[in-house]
Amino acid sequence: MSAIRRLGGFRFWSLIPFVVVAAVFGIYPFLRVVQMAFGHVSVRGGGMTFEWRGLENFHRALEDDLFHHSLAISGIFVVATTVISLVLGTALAILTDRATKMQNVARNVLVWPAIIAPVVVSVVWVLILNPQIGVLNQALSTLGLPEQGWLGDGVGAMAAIIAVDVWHWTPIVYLLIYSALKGIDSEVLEAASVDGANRSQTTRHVVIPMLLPAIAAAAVLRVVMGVKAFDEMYLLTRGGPGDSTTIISLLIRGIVFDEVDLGYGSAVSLVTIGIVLVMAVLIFAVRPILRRRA
Amino acid sequence: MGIQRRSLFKAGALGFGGLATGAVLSGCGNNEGSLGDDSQPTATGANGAVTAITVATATTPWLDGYKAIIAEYEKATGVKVTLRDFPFDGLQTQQVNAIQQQSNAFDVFQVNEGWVGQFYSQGWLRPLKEIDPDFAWDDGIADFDGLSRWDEERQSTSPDGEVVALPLNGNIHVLAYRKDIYDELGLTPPTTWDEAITNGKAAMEAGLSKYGYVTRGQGAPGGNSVTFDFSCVLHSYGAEWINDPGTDWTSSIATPEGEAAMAKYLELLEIGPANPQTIDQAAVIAAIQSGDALQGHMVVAVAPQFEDPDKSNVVGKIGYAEVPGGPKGPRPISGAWTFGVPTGLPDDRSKAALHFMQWITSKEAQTSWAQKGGVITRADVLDAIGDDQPQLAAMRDSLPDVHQGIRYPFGQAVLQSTEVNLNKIVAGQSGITDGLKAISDDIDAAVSKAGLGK
Repeated sequence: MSAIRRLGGFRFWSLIPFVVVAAVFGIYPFLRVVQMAFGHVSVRGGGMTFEWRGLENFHRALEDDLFHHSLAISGIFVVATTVISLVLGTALAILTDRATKMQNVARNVLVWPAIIAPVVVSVVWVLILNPQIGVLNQALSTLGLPEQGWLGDGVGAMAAIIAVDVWHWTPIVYLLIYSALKGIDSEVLEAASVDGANRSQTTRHVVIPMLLPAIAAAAVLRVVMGVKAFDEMYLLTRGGPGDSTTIISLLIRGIVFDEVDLGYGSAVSLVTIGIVLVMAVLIFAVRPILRRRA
Repeated sequence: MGIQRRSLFKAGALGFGGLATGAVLSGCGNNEGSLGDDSQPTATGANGAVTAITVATATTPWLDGYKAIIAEYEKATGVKVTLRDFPFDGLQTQQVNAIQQQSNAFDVFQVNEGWVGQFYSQGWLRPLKEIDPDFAWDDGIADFDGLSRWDEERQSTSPDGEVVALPLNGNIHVLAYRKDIYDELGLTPPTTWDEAITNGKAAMEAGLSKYGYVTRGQGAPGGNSVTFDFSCVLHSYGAEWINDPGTDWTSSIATPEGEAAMAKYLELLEIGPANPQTIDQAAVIAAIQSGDALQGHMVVAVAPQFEDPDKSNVVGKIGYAEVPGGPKGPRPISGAWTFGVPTGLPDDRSKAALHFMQWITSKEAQTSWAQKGGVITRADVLDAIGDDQPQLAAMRDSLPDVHQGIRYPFGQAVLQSTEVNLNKIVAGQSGITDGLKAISDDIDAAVSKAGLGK
């Protein structure tokens, strides 16, 4: 038996495109980031020069108050957007599943926000929230109420970007949960009904437990999306006022592209990746427990 | 065994997921907007002469005028110019990528005042005398406080430095004011910040203006927003981000002068739109265009937008003057653009690029550009135009007082701090003393990290 046949024949070859793409666009850039994180990279004259600095960039990250602040801001953002979108997405999936009229329309309309480009979403929300020309303040003004600086104070700006992100990406959670909901064996629900459970009890004690693995998967997805979030904040608040909404992606952008400090930017990126991996591992560790409970 | 294999796959999937996440984040590393394949090679004619060049530029309010003058260059020389425009901060990234990857994607770089220290100190622009040993500075071109010259020893721009660029757009601060309201109230353009505030309050009390003064309060990390507009108040009180780049790298912003300047800036913002911490340049322009604001200081390049009947309610009603001053007199800030030749470009392309730059800054081209409303960089042409274009007349009158913007090699690190901390002060998130102290500390750290100030 040839080595290739032992490796699985077509199954082996079909992986090649994926491996090549992953190597070129994933592994190679990642290894470059790892390399740069351990040095000082300067772009002088005609190209890049690398100077080994060991753990210096990581020590700097540990002492950088702005990095700590950005991590905290990102933590708040990720937790809030993940929890809210999971609750909303799950509720919408269950409600849509139970709808007796216009179910198809609801299913379609609910996913619309997710297919809009983030830049367009940002422009739409700028036109809603802008203190001078925004629709919200125009409405308040028409009603004789004082205008508000929706993006003008730290809490308001953070609430605004959370709201925009939840509005934009809850449909993804909805789709995942709704698919899982449709996969639940109807006999299980019928059995619950035969046992005398009403709709509320069935939802609480049967449906939601069975959805927990899907909810955990959606949670991982939303955590990663939350850490990657960039467009809306960049266009809506630019990290302000002050640094109230400077989430980690905005900070990394500034270090890498404005200060052209590639070494430190890489180190900050690596630390962030490490934190995301830890969170992902924790959620995956909890998943089997959830599955057993389900 | 099966369980082990499944676990292995899971671990692998998780690991690869992590790597994929890393790849997404590392996409920020050095590949954003990579020019790579879509760079346009410069064409060379049969006799070896360069027949086409690619010029990088930003999407600015003066882009249309630049295109028009480039069309004249193409007509006069037969050289085809591909103008590639990018958003303000995207331009910096594209040019850094071009240098980093040595792609020679552009024949001409365009450098904003705020990037000057970075581009010059890193050797990303080729000294013009190296391209053409006969190159000599044309005395008709305004100096903008040494904007185009780099002194390697001092690590700063200097009138005595080596010429590495030419000024492309002479954007400096001017005061734009409603001359109709000023006339109605019998006021004269303010020469001090206090007069500006008094005039602003008078117009508001008379019900002639919703806002007495408008200027930027929003911070834009990566940009130069509130820092730029505050600088002309700061320097008019005698405080400096860096006292004397090249010899004294200490900062004097956390001083009584700096605090007085900040307090005055807050007074100006108080008679402007609510939530000044959200006011960016677009909002400033809109406040003037709508007729809501009496006055404000801004770059001269925005003036044509007030005279566009499709966008403005105040066509023909805006007057221009030098910015008001503090105890040290007026200090309009240079927010000019320069253009230069990237390092690493082949000699023939470098020479073609330099020819393009010299043509654009020639007296003939600048006169034509000024007639199209361009913010030109030749003092002799500004003198010749006289008062025909009021914004250029104000610019001409301001040139002797121009103060350089942030041009240090570590300028971006300074801006990262100033944009955030000034915005915090404006938003009331930190007090004047604490906010300026935070900036001063960050400047000290940036100076130290750059190995300067010893």
